[in-house]
Amino acid sequence: MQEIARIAREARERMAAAETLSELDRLRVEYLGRKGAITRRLKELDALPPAQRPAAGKAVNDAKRGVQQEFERRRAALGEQVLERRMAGEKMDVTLPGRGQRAGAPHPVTRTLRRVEDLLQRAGFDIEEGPDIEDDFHNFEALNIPPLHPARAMHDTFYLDDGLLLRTHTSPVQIRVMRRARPPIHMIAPGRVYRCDFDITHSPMFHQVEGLAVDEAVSFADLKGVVTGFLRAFFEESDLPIRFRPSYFPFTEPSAEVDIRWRHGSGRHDWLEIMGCGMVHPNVLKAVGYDAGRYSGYAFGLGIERLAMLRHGIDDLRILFENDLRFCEQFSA
Amino acid sequence: MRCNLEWLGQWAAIAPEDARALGERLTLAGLEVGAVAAAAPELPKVVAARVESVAAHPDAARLRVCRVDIGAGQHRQVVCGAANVREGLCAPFAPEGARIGGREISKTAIRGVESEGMLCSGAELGLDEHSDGLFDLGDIEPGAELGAHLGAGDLIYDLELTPNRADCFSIIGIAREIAVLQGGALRVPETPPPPAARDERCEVVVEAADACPRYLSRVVTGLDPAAAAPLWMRERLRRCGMRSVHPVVDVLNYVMLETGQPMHAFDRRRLAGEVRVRFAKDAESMLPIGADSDSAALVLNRETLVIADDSGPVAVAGVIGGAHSAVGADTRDIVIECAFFAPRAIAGRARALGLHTESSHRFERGVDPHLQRRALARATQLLLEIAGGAAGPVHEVESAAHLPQSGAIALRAAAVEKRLGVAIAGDFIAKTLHNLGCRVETAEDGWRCLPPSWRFDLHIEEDLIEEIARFHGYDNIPERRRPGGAPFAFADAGADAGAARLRARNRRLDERLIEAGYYEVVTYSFIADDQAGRFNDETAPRLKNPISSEMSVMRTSLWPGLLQVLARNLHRRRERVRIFERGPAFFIRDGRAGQAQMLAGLACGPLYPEQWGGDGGGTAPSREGRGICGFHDVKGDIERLLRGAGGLAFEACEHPALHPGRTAAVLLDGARVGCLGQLSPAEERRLELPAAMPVLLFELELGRIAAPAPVECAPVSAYPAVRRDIAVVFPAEVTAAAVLRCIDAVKPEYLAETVIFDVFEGGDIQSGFRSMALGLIFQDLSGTLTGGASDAWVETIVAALRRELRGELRMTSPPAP
Repeated sequence: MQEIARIAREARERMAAAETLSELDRLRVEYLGRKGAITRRLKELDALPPAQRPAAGKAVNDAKRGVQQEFERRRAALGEQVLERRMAGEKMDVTLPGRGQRAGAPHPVTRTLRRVEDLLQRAGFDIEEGPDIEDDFHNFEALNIPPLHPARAMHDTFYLDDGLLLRTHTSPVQIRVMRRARPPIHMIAPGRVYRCDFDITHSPMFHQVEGLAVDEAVSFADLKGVVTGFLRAFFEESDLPIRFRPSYFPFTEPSAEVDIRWRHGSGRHDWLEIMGCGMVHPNVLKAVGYDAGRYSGYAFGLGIERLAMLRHGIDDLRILFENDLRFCEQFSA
Repeated sequence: MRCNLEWLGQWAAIAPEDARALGERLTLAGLEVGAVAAAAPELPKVVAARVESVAAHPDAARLRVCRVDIGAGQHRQVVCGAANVREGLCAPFAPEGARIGGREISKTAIRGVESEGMLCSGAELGLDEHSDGLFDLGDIEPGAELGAHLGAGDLIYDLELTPNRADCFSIIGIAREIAVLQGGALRVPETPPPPAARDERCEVVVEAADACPRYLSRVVTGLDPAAAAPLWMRERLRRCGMRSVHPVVDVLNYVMLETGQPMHAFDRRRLAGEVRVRFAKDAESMLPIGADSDSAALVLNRETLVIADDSGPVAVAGVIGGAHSAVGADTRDIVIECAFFAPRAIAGRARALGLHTESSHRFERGVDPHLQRRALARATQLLLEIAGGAAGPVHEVESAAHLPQSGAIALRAAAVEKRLGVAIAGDFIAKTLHNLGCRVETAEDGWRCLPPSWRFDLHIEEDLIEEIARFHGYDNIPERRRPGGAPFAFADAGADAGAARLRARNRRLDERLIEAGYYEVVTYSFIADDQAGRFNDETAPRLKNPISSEMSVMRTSLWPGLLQVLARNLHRRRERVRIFERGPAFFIRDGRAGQAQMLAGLACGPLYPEQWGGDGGGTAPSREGRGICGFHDVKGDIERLLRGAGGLAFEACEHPALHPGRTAAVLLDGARVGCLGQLSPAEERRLELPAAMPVLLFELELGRIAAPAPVECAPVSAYPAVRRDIAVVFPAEVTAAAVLRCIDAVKPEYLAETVIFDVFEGGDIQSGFRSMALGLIFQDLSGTLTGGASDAWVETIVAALRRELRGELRMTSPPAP
């Protein structure tokens, strides 16, 4: 009896001290295997007198269970150690950069154009498009700018060989839409426009969004509502100071320039001209065959580069068309 | 238009405390004031001095030693180098201790002669940009403090006028706006017409009465050639941006600034015979004022209205006078012209001659056709005061029928409210229009209103409504956002559904390219002439008036712009460029200019941004080797881009700018939609690209790519697929496309997908052949496929490949789920 207790104790101690799973397994075979020390004692029970058998059997079984438990415990512990060692070896520098393709970015002009389109579409304006190469009728005459009108000097037009021209604004799209559809009309026309002018603040090509609403009883107050609502949404500033001042465009009457109160990088505030707008001139409505007594409308024009420059803190217009990738990269957010 | 407070103040009451804010008030009334500036700096200690004597400097040929009287019995000695210094001249004197242009004047010796101060030019005082001598103060008391005389307390307003406001190109016009803003009307004093002292006249015949409905002329004789405009007049001219040049010219400019009426003076002795107002004959010419005899003469044509004498044109009407008949230092007798030229007879003429003058600027926009008598009377009166002489009678040729006729405009009270969206009091409307110079009568539903002759911009009711809105204040009109104020038309549902779907699709294409690492760029629609023909055989629309030869034709392809962006970035040592642009390309087809929306891209350099853990180059490996972007990488980008757009195929083709062996047409459902390829070595050389890496280009015509229809959902099989891999050796010329087409033609049952997962040549493969490894994936929707069943299908496929393409099976895999 004492013998079995000693063997079991020895087995547990050796197992507890085993350093590797294979050493532990060798001990399992040595004690618990088919020819193991404890298994042998179990087989010897048959040779004992029946009266001694229950007590001896319990002792051997207890010993076996104890060793078995120690084996399981030690195996789990060693398994854990092995796993930990393996994982320790697999440790990575998680601060190394990720791999693979890097996403590009939309151009800031496109970003701004999309933002303007989305805001105005939400306000019920549909997008309309027209050609960059226009004729005099759509670009000027139908917009109440007859030949020799002084306003043509404000437009510095590019002409093509065949008398056509590059549109100086996207307003001709309004004419195209009004000639094919009847009021109510709520549309915006985004696109490239061209003026024969090139310096630090003028690009020969830039982008505009023109808006037009025509319906019965559309008033200047409606125009102000849309313009102020749009500008405050665009600049995400609900109390952005905005002012309207009288100006002149041949295709609107009354006409207005819209200024916003802008905080420059230097901290200085001043009024900044941001867009032009007005009530559609009756001559424009007549040119497309609308009853100018029944319908009225408003129109507005936004310079996309201007908005993009303000929103992104860009101070040189030309950089927008240089496409230096160090510039482009900044817009991947 | 520049104007000064002091002059405006003569016509409109302006409280001193309102003077600075006036700029803002005018801006908000539609006369944009760009800047408000002091007319002169404060000039403490600077006084008027009269030169009493001028002596040569003993030691410097160009310097003079002057003794000047500075008032109160005091005298100073000054060394002066100005050419116009002379005895009797009154000029500004800065004594010791005065500050001029930031430096303090001190007593000094100039080449050994003591100088006790400085006689100053306009530029030195900060009044003019350039000066060519001492500032001539005219007749002034020595010792007078100059600050007040030169406008230290005065303000200059710089107005940026819109082209409709012809009436505001004058002090009176601007003063009228100020008066109306203050709720009053301008008071115009009557100028008594000076009596005709001599009966001398200049005969004028107006042949073009519609272009010149009114022509006034008057002879003035016996002018004093030594006379000069007084300081107050020269100061007002200066503050309004004009230089004093000659007493006659000064007076005419002064009256033009005051009233808005441009006038011209001819030297009477240099006019030959009868004066006619007529259109020029083709190729007639005239040397303009200011030109010397070497300058090119203006070449006129039948569109140009001129004033001519027997010798030919002596002035381009309303634009500029001729050099020969211009007044000069010895002029004693003049003919003053004061006319109304019709705007359409002047518009564009100055520009066509490369000129732009104060006169043309006003006549183009419109001068009050009833102003001429008053303006001429004013000019005569001032001229006689300044230069003496005697005036002849006014000779007037008028064609009343050709004068602009302003008709009465009906203004309905209801229309004002309807257009502005706010109710405005009737008496405010009537008073404002009256103060602006309209004759206003009450009518049943509003007013009848006859606009004044100086307003060329009031024709219809809306024009009057704008006037009311201006003075009511745009900021006092409410902002209205009506629910349904912009009714949703939902164009997407109507005829524009296709366009809306295409726009959404285009945005998705942009986003896919951005995800694939491309940066969007925006380049100009015009390119250099020599770029136009290189990238396709379209004819480029050509600009008549390009900004430069680099931007002289419309692009027929987006590639020139992309290549320019590539070159620019490579020169800035960028090694990896992936860019795209979506925008129009232009063409002339059947004689008509047109445009198409293109999506074009360019990739050059390493496939991936530089990163750790790749191959030796620090980049992830690519099939084309060394991680450099190649044809098939960009082809993969296009496959991803056009996924879902239809049956996509690529077909080898040729392109003038691309590598002949590495160019493919992009086909969707059999129709060509674009092109993809590697820039040809010849083009690479021509572009002088700094790096030797392949440049891949693609361009797709978006109009040819249908927007995807809504996805029709197909059932997904609940059962596992069976995959069989085979390796087949083909003659090298058999293309992947041919292999896939052949398999497709067999139409094996349950074949869901075929992938090419390896291609290799060499090794134990015979030269002239290559091995292609194909994964065949079989799938049944209604049950699990057995491995055995797939054997038969694989055999069918292998047989077809052998029969059609001489493909020999190298190995086959066992069935695998």
